[in-house]
Amino acid sequence: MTILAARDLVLGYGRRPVVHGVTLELTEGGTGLIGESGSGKTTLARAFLGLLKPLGGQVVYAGRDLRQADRRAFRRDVQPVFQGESLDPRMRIGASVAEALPRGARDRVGALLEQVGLDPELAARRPHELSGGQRQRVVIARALAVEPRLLVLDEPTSALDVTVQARILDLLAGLAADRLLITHNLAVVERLCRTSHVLFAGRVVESGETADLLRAPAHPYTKALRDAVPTLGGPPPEPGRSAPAAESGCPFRLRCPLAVPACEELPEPRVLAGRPRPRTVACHRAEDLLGGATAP
Amino acid sequence: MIEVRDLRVRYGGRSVAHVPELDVAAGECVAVVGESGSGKSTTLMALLGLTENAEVTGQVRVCGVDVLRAGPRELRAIRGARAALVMQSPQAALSPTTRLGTLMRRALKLHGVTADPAEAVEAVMLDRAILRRYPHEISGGQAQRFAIALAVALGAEVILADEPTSALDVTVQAEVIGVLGRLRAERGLALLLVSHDLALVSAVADRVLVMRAGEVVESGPCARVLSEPSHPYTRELLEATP
Repeated sequence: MTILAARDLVLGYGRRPVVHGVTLELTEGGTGLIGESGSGKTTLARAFLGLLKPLGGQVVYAGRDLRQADRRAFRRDVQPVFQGESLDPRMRIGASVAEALPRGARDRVGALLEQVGLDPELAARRPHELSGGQRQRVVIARALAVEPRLLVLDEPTSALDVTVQARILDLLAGLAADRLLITHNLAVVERLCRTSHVLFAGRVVESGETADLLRAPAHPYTKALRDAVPTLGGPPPEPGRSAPAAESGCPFRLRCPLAVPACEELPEPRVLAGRPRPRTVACHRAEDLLGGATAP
Repeated sequence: MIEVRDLRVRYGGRSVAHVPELDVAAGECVAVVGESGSGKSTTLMALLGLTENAEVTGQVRVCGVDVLRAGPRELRAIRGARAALVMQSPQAALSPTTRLGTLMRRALKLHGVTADPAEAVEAVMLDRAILRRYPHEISGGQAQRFAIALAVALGAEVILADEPTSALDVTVQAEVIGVLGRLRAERGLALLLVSHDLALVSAVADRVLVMRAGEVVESGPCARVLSEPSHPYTRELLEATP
């Protein structure tokens, strides 16, 4: 059984919804939520952590609505990993990690620091005496203290240098806990998540196996995201069109190079037929895009 | 546009950046890459004489001005006008209580430049309606393009950009990079780009300097350095680039 799922989840601040009826399941091998600023990915992550009450629909934890679930078990199973700057600047590293450990197991600080590749002697230091990468490892150690089944990671490496980022990604990929990763960095998702969901303006527009999704996107937004990422030795990134999300119909239609009058109707997510890997997409033009259609 | 020979920046006697040679010609893009603490941003600040409390030696010419020996008046004549600085978060530098149009007109008046703000913002693919907005009403990508529009309106011949797109979404980053590329091609703008993103640099720069711990470890044409790196650190950076 999946540990967490969203069913017709509507989320927002005040009464204004920013996530509109999202349904998805977290699957083994890592799940990625991809999207740009304002896509609703962090809002969705907050709901998965039980930090935001849904305006509609539900978060399902171990088969039950999260509101009726055993919160202690939930806190043990699902742990957030924030950016390294979230550590208390006044606390020594050892005390910070010990605080996250259950009473009676506080002697495990050294072992936990070693598990994330840190010298146990760093326990005596304070956060400002560590590098950014070391601080990120401490935050991961804190999350691992209760032996969670799932880590929820919101842009865990975006503030780090590339060589440091590579080592943190290796660490995360080697952990027993599964991952829900929120990011705009496609390369990071590819490394850590077997399955990905692409969000645009608070809706999931495409879901599938990460590698398959990025190789052959079926939604024009997924393609735009992929083509905007510069690659080593590749051509300059493709800017695409700039426009706000549409208030009605397909939210991407004002930016979409393939938009047709039918796109004034909101496309429902549907499973694409004839794909080697399962793929769900909410686009009227998915088959045309996969068939090689380009802007007129 | 930019000529640097044996530039060294020291804080309290300790060398934090040393660049033996760096040239950027009109229409060219040269990138300085490296990780935190490599000295790349310090180098960029030194080019405009903005490293306070530092001991700076060597030769730096920007738009024909000898930066290290120039007086305040000469420096003011190039800073912000002929040589513009574009930072990671331009919104922080825009007065929150002033509309963008007023902001731009004030800057033009201050530098004694006659230019049409509407034309300037349209040159960076922004709608002229943005001039009626306040800084908090625009997105990060729009703010970055506004900063570039302001630089161009003031007659910038050189843009020194420090991580101009690292706070932006990839699609927005592509827009900003597209705008800079067009300005280089159409107006012969010279661009010095400081970045940690090798993939981005490989897509836009002609030449690259790789810095580590205050020293340039490798430099040359972008295509050569990134495909056949000769320094182990460049190789390490490339391998870590996702």
